[in-house]
Amino acid sequence: MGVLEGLVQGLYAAVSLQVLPYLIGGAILGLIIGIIPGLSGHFAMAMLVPFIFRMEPTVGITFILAAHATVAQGGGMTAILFATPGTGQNAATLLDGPKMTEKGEAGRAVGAAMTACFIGAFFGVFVLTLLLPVLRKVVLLFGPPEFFMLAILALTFIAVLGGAGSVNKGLIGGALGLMFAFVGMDSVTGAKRFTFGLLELWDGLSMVPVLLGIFAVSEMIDLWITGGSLARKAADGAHESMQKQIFAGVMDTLRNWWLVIRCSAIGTTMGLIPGLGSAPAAFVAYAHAKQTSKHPEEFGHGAIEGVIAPESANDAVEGGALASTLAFGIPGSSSMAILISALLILGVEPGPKLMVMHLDLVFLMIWTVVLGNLMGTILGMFIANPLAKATFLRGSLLVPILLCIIVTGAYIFHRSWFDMIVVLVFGLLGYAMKKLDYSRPAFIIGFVLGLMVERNLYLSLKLYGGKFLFQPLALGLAVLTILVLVYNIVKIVKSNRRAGIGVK
Amino acid sequence: MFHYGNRSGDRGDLRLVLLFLVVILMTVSVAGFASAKSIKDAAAFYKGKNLTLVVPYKPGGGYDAWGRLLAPYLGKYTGTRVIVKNMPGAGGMLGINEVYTARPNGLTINIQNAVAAVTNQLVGVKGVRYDLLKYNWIGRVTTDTRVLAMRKGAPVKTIEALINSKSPIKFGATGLGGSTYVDAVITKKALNLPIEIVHGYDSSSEVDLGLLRGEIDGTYGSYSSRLGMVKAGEQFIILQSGKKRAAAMPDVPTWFEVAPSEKAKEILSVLTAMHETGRPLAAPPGVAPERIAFLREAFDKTLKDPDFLKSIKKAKKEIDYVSGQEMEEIIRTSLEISDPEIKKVFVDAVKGDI
Repeated sequence: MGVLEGLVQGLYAAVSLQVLPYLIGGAILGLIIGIIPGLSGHFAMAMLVPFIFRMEPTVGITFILAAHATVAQGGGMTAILFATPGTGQNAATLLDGPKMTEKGEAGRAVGAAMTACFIGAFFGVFVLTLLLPVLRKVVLLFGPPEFFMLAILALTFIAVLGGAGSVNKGLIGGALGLMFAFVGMDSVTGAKRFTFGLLELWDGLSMVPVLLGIFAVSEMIDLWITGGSLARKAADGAHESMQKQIFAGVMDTLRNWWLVIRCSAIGTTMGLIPGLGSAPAAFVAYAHAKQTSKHPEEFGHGAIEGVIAPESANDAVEGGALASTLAFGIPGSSSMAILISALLILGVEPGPKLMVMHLDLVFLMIWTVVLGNLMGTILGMFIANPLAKATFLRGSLLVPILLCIIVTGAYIFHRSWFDMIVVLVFGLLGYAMKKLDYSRPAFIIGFVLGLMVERNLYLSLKLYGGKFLFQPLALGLAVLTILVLVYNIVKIVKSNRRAGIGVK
Repeated sequence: MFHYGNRSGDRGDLRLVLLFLVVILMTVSVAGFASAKSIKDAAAFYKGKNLTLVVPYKPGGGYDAWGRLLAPYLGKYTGTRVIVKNMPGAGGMLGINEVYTARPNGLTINIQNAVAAVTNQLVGVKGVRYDLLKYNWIGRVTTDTRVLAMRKGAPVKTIEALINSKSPIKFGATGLGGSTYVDAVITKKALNLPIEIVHGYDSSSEVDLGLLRGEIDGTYGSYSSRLGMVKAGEQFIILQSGKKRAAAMPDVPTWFEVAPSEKAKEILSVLTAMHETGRPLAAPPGVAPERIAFLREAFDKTLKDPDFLKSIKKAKKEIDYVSGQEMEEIIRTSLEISDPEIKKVFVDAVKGDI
């Protein structure tokens, strides 16, 4: 089957009367799951697997993949409106999204985020389609040395993410995150680090409860203490103005098309790293936007680019994560692991054979990601208005409800009581960091990348010795890392000199 | 799938076996009439209740899949609503600890990675808060035949070539103490394999990618987990666990066939006995015997249900059933290592000192 033929057949299958209702149904479910804090795409898929046992392969695949595709959009909306990451991948959206809501620009932020999501997802699968003939080679280019260097490159963005201009506080935040990343049993030596005799800590802290604590619970504490509502400035007129705002947001994203493309490229590349997920990609995209912006001082105070960048990156990740899934039947993320088990249940064997024998199914997946995201974007814009009304509620009404949802979300992910404690403890830590201006994004980057750096460094050394750094791609990434670092340091020194002070 | 039961008389003293048999016979005959009634009582107890099946791993894995495949049928034959509860942590140990101390009313059971559970108890890993000898065994669902797979293009193509290789061959493995690691370390010792173990890969998926990239040459795994890559022509199998060649792999030698000495065979017997424990269902100690009997009966019916068998086939899984009573024996055998030298090999393999 030719590529073009597969492309057309895939589209034909996706919009057929038999499949389309499931695509729409899946997209709506995904959106709802995304809106609820703590429930992720992984969860959406796991939840739907039992329902697909008796479905046709095309229907089943579309159903669960559509649900997975729209989760990021729902999550983005929660992040913007309620200062709570709907899913882990939307954490970076919290840096500017809620600030826009506070200013009465919720509609604009949602419109921009939804559009960025769609373009990002489209970009990701577009690149994937272009690479289909050489997909195997591309996936195999990246081994432990390359993953190590990619993670180090991402870590250098901690410098850009520092809170309120203080580099030191950014670095401290990042180091704190690294420290928490190392909680648990070290898989190389078997040593138990910072586990304090608790079996619950052996596998390390899970990302979702930590993220929810650091970003969401801390905001709830803040809102509770300061009082008021999430939207501090009432948008005038409400309904019509909301529609106008959403439209303005869509235009904002389109005007920043070059930024969207660059951030989508970051997302797709980082999606190739197995098991990384999309949260770090979103932060790196955010840092990149801030770094290249003409007005970086606006970031963190409601800059529209601060919403566009992470939202385009976190959906572009899917393209990269699908790559190793399709090329080899090896999951690139926990969601992809569920997709693979779902494919097996449906009697479709993922892997190289799929690409040769069932190119139409491959394109069906690609079209589902595109159409599912389109659906999510359109639906999201309709849901935004009623949801936004809740942001005018008094904090004392909203906080208890949101807190319940957040803590439940943290519990549900692994069905673990311990995670409920984790979310509350990290809520306090997050609140302290917020008040004292230590960078929470830097914390999350350190937390998510710590193990990635450690594991791949060990594997690289064991496989190649110290020479691993001189492998061509790893070397290229190392040079890039140094360039980025030098650029940042020069920029920081310059801006400090302009301000007439040394490093704060 | 194959099956090699371990008869109780293998190594014991004959008189003890006879005594054992007499005791069993007496118990059976005395309890015979009573048990039919008490099982009926148990059925009345279970009817309409919730039965929690703890899966000690995250959703999405193989144990989770088994749990979810079993749940509706266990529910059908026990008259309960079976709730699958994931309780991941400490490599499966958390779920086994938790159920061990759960209320012994028979409404909480688990599916176990018994190979890991046995290894951890045997070695005395810190954190073990259970005694497998006291667990109530409901029955075994399946076992994993372990195989040694090499990547396409690996420098050695047969087990003989591997044994005789002059340069070290790199083997990928996941974390320390994980099955891919333990198998590699123990066979390295028993068969004098010239291998270098590169452990620390996050999952067996990443080991697969490493094999595809060619940075490592081989790995251990369960037969079912290797099958996809083998069918795709990316890997091939050169060695299998167990005493007999599996029907699916008639041309692949077992590790006993290439064992160089009696000592090696002894070490491998111990490892084989552990693998024999497979994936059983169990209830905590202290559950009333008639409820255990009832659960065992429901389990036996489940594994014979034609619809269940159909769904197993569709999910490309295989059953290797043994009853709860046989399972007790298998666990007991797997925990007996009389030779301190061999025990040390296992302790070192799990703790990473080899």
